[in-house]
Amino acid sequence: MTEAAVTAPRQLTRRRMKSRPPLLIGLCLGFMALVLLVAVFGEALAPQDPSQQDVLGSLAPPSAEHWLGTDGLGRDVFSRMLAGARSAIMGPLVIAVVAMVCGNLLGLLAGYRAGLVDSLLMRWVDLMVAIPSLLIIIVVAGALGGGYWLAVALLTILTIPTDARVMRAATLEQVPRPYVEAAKTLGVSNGRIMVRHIWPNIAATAVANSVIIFAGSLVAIAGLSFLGLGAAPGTPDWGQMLSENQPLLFTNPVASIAPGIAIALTATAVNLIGDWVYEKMSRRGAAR
Amino acid sequence: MSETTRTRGWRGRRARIVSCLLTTALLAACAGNGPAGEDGDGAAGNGERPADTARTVDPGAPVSDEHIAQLDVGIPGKVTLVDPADNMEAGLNVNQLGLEPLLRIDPDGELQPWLATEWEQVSDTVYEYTLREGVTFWDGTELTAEDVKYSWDHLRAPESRRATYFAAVDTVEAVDAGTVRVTLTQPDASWQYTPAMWYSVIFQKKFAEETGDAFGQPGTLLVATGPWKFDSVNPASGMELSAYEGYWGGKPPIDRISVKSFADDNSMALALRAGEIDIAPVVSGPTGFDAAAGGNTVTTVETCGTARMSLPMRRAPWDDVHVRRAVAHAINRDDIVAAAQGAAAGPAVYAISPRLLQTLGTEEEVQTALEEIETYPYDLEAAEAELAQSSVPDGFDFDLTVPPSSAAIAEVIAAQLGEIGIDIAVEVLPDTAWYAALREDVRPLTFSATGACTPDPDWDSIFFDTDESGEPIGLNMAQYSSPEVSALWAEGLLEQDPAQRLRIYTDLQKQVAEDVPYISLFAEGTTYASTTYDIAEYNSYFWMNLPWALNLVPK
Repeated sequence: MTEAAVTAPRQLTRRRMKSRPPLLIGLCLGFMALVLLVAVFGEALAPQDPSQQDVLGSLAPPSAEHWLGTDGLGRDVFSRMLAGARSAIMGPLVIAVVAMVCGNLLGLLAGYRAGLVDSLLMRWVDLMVAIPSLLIIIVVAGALGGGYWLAVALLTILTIPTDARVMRAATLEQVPRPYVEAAKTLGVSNGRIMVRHIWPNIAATAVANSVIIFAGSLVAIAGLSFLGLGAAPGTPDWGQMLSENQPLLFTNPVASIAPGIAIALTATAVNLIGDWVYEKMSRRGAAR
Repeated sequence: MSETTRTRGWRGRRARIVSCLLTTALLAACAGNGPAGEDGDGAAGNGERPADTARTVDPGAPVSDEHIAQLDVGIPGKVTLVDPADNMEAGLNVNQLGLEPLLRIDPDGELQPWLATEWEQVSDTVYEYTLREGVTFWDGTELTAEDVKYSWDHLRAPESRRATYFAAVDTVEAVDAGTVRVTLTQPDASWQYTPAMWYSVIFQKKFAEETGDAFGQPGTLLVATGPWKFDSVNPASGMELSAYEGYWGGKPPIDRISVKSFADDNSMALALRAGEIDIAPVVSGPTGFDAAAGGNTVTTVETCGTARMSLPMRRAPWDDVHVRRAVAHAINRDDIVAAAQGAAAGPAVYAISPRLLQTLGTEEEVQTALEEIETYPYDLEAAEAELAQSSVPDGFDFDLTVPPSSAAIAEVIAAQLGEIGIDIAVEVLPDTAWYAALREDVRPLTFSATGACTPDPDWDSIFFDTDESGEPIGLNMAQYSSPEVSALWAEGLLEQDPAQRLRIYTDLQKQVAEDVPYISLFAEGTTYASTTYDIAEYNSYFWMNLPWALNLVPK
């Protein structure tokens, strides 16, 4: 048997191991899969009606009947946690996707076309980035009475410029490269060059940035709900629950801490997955 | 009703409106915090608590003989000044340690002497007060009628925050050094309590004149007669007081009092737990506070305030009395009391708190009168039957608009009305937006608290105010306009005979119960917290009219 024949399976194994996510990322992926499952089927999975009040039975500690106890109105905290996963995931997902589509298009356009288009778009971006986003959202949402989808819309509008700026920088890096010059020489349309040639090369940045936006939006929406400017009162929502159950810290600590843990774990998991995806896509791009 | 009567009514009520709004915010804050007390009255037990016991000692004397070198008091909010014409809620509780009124209201709502030893209603519109001899200010000079006149003129000046409490006053005169005469513009049965309230306190004329615009400011302070002198006020941190050795009631039992400001109940509770403060005279979220402070710290007593839901009668379908009656039957007050989490002292069913009627008759007489009034007990079948007769037999959708701190109670109400097919969406507005909504032409479905009050039933008239053309104004959140009810409120104010007044207010409540513009939810509670001391005679809101630290008793 030749040496090559002996080493080949080892290299294959090593390559396979490299392609596998590390344990931490595996845990994060598992956790996020669980969160997504709960977000889709949360209300059906909940052992009790998340909105059912039992005021006289409020503030019960964790028990077999109420795994995380009950809140100030006697509602089952565990069931509300499950039902709250949907609003925790839905809004950030919408923000990340819309911001990614719009931000990528604007970034590509500014970076590729340069000149007046770039100047106009970037001055707008400068203006938007200079605005303290959360403060503006608090003021606008406060003035308009708040609401979950209003918060999502405002966050989306204020996130697009950030994404556009990142994608412009990535595009600027690609524009002088020979493959872009070659495409131009061959007469490929500008739109096609941007979308079919440049974007695939900056996709890792796009995806990673969107994941960061998702995690940031998750925390921001929870914060707005905490301030009463997000989800409507009574809605099972992690941020809302954090606010509602805050005074219960000394009576049913689990009820006030659990939503916070869920928000922190989800945001951390998403960020770690984002980093891992970026590394993986970058490595693939470099290999190409 | 004469024009002057109406004018007085509105002007005289504006300050109460402000007071109610402020207290509403404070009490509403209670509703959102902390768990419910098992018995709905905080630390209330079956036995008599010091808070329920009356002062039996002489005016000015401490209830307990125990000497206290240092008392640390925690209050929510900051003390920015001590001018009684201008200070706000946070400062009121400590202002009373140094500033005193002429009279005191006892737990039964009866007037008792304090700085004045005698008082007399000379005619329907003239009252005379005889000052106690030997009362001195902190600089040793004697209290005179001129000081009382100056103080009340200062408090009723147009720029004073307290001006409208004195709207019925025509003149204040110093008849001689020890006699003050007050002449009203018209008979007003509720005036008798004004000289006993926290907004009628007395300070030295000489010092006020000397200091001019700086009077009452942190660097200047003031001179008064109370048992504790104001040594310093720091708007950022609190206030320092020390005993006035020459106090007319004898040497005060506490040498020094430090008042510390806190941003919220939780930080105050943790300070109590850590021993940084000895007592918090006002706690907004009793059960949450108690849990954070380590338990067995709070005492709650029932007040004369009523938290009530207002039904906007000029908006469909609330213009249908069957809808309003259906809602009245669908409300389960026990759940709402529990959701108020210690801030509610018990269910309330009447338009006027029974505590405000206690000066008009014996307990039996008042009870007999109340039995005439329909109270709409919790009964879902009756609620459904009423709704079936209405314009919306299949139910309807509506917003319940509340400030953020009231969201918990609003959710309970929404769930209860859902039982009869009324789909309520809870709309939470920031405090300022909610206050603004209360003044809009199109009023919201909401609920609010009454707040601190005198023992006179006329206090609750602010929720029924109308102008001369019968249009609802002020805090008439239900936009309720009934000529009969307006006439009865006016009659009650002019009538001097207690028995007649009880009859008038009973008739008034019967009419209101028939129309259901409001649904009373719970009797508001007031709460103090301490592991070391109790406050005797912490009854209703009247405790805050006097130097309450004189009523401290060791636990």
